[in-house]
Amino acid sequence: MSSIYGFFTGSHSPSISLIKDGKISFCIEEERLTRIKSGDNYDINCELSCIEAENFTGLKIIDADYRIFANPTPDVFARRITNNNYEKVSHHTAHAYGAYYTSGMEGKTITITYDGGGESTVMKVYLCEDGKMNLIQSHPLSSFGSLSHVWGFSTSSMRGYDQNGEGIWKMCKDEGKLMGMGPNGYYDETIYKMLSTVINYKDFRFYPSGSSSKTMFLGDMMKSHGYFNTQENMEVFSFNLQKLTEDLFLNFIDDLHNLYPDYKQLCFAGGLFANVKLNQKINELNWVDEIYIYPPMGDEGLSLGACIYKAVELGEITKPFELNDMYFGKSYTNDEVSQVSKNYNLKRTKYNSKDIAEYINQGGIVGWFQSGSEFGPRSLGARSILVRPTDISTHKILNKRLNRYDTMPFAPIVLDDKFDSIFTPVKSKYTSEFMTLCYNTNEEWIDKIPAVIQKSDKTARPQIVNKDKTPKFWEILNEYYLISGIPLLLNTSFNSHNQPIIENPEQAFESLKLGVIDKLIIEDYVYFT
Amino acid sequence: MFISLNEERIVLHFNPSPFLKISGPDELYYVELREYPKNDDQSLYVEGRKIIGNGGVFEIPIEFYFDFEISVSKYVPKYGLKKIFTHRFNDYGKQVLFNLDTKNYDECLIWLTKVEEYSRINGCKPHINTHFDDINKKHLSYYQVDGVDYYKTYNIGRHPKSSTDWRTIDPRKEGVIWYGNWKTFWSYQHPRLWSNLTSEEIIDDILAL
Repeated sequence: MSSIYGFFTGSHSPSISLIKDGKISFCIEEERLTRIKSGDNYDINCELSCIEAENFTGLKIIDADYRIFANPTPDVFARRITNNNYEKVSHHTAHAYGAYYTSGMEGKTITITYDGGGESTVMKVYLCEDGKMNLIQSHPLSSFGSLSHVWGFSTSSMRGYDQNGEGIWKMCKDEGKLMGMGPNGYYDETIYKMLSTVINYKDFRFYPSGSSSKTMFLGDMMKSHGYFNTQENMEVFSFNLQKLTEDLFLNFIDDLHNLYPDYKQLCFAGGLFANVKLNQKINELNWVDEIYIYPPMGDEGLSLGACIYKAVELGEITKPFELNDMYFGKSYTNDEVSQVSKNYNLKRTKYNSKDIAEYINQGGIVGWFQSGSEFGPRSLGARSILVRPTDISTHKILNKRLNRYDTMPFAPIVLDDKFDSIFTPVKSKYTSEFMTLCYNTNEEWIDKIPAVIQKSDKTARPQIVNKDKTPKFWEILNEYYLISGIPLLLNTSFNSHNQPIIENPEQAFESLKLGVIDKLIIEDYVYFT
Repeated sequence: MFISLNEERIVLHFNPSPFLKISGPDELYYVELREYPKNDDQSLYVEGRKIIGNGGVFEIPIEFYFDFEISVSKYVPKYGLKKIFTHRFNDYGKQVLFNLDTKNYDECLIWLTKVEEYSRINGCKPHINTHFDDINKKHLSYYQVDGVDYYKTYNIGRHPKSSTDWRTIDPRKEGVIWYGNWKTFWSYQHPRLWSNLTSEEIIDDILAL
């Protein structure tokens, strides 16, 4: 069995991953260490991540059995850190291998990757079965349009540009704001048709090519004509962009289904599938049995995808497996945390789940720091902020403390055995352990948990918490349920607006000192001022 | 070539590379150069695109032949992008200048034969310019000096890549000019590396014969 370091670097979202003996050992995205969001920091390498990986795992990059880069690869950097001993794998191949082999799916499965372009491709489609992947479609960027480009350039056009020509909202970073405000808008035939002039779909082709520049031109012209001057218009634009995206992509999915009617399981990776509303629509298709979205669906997940590709090639991974969690970053012992805490003059008590659940029930805002940091864009119970889901006024408090826009809905965690009674449709529950798609909320729950439901369309993006996989996270949630009768908590990422999710205890303690959270649970202790 | 539309005025030529200048009432225009793949009736590949202001210029420094189409779009409120002009490269019946940039007499004659072949296939009216007076004077176009408006200029020769092209400065891309992230050319005048090609291959490459 082998040790394999995987890399993605030289663009947005650089990261490093390590697989040892067929098991995921370590993953981290560079933004967690630079403390600058990937969308604000292009064309950097994963320098700090390499150091972190070597220090934490004790395995030097040059001592690993294999080193593999997901393309596009900056060879100067790759040569330097590997002593010129490395391999490469195609961008979308790395996306696809990451998705399929972590899906746990048995039987016939279609794997689809889609993003703004890696090397020369925007999309690949594979037929998969019993651990084998067969490429059936590859869509070159040169001759296909990209929905991801339309989202990216719409995002940067909407709020205009700063003095340096940078979008005030940035692509690869702020698309979620459009997705978040979309449900507050409404269908407008004119806007829908205008967007259709930059991207459309027919017979397996997204067209026209060059959708990036066309979208930028359209968006900039709409901006200069004053269209985006009102919140209502921004919401209408976002609604119609979302609708067009869903309409076109669902047409594509249906066309695939007509060709391959026996394939009813779908795996996805690539930046487009950060769109949890699109994922919801796919999941709601009647013929779909189950979908899975690779948790680090954007380019940050390529380093792990590259590792998996190599492990499959070596025969060390042969079938899709299920992820237990995404806690692949650096973890800290109680002693290490205790040492750090001495610099902050904080009080400390032993952690007791009942006490903390009661504190949350009374309105406390709690920082939750456990094990290794999550790999991917979501806080999934390693670097989270937990709040009661029952009080809508929580939004104002959280947004003020975290300096966030109020267009972004907050998401819940839910006990695994209670999911079916709260959300529909009841399928694709494995992928919902990683908070990657939205569900409709059952009528009787809407008024009970207003803080975690999108106010217009009443959907939510739940994370299912499983007792066997993440027992400590499950325990605090279950204690809250026993106290309140509500089997959900609001779980938001442990970061202020425009910052990456926190990585280490120092950053958690800083948040506590600044009053972002009321109490902080790190491993087995509760810290407070 | 000068084109007058409703309110826009367009200057278009290919001397030696696609050049388009537009004047009109709008603040901005979107210009795109697309390529038709062989045996395809759709111009799929985007070779270049630019948003230009009123009076602005669009220029893509590709000089060799490829089957392309240039288009101009504008923003129409409540409609979106409206294509207002499109032109597919076609030099049939047009005056085309061929600069045969070689000091080798025999090679010049080979290239001259190829130019005649190109002109016969495409129906253009060739004008020849070489380093050799006797060759120039044998050609009818030598005496046509009035009213010449070249539609296209081909520079036939061995031309190194541009030393000022930022795309070639990055050591990762040394020796290669990248276009649109999916194609590589060895210089703007050549579709592939010219240094080891024969005389015939040089001109066949440039004229796509």
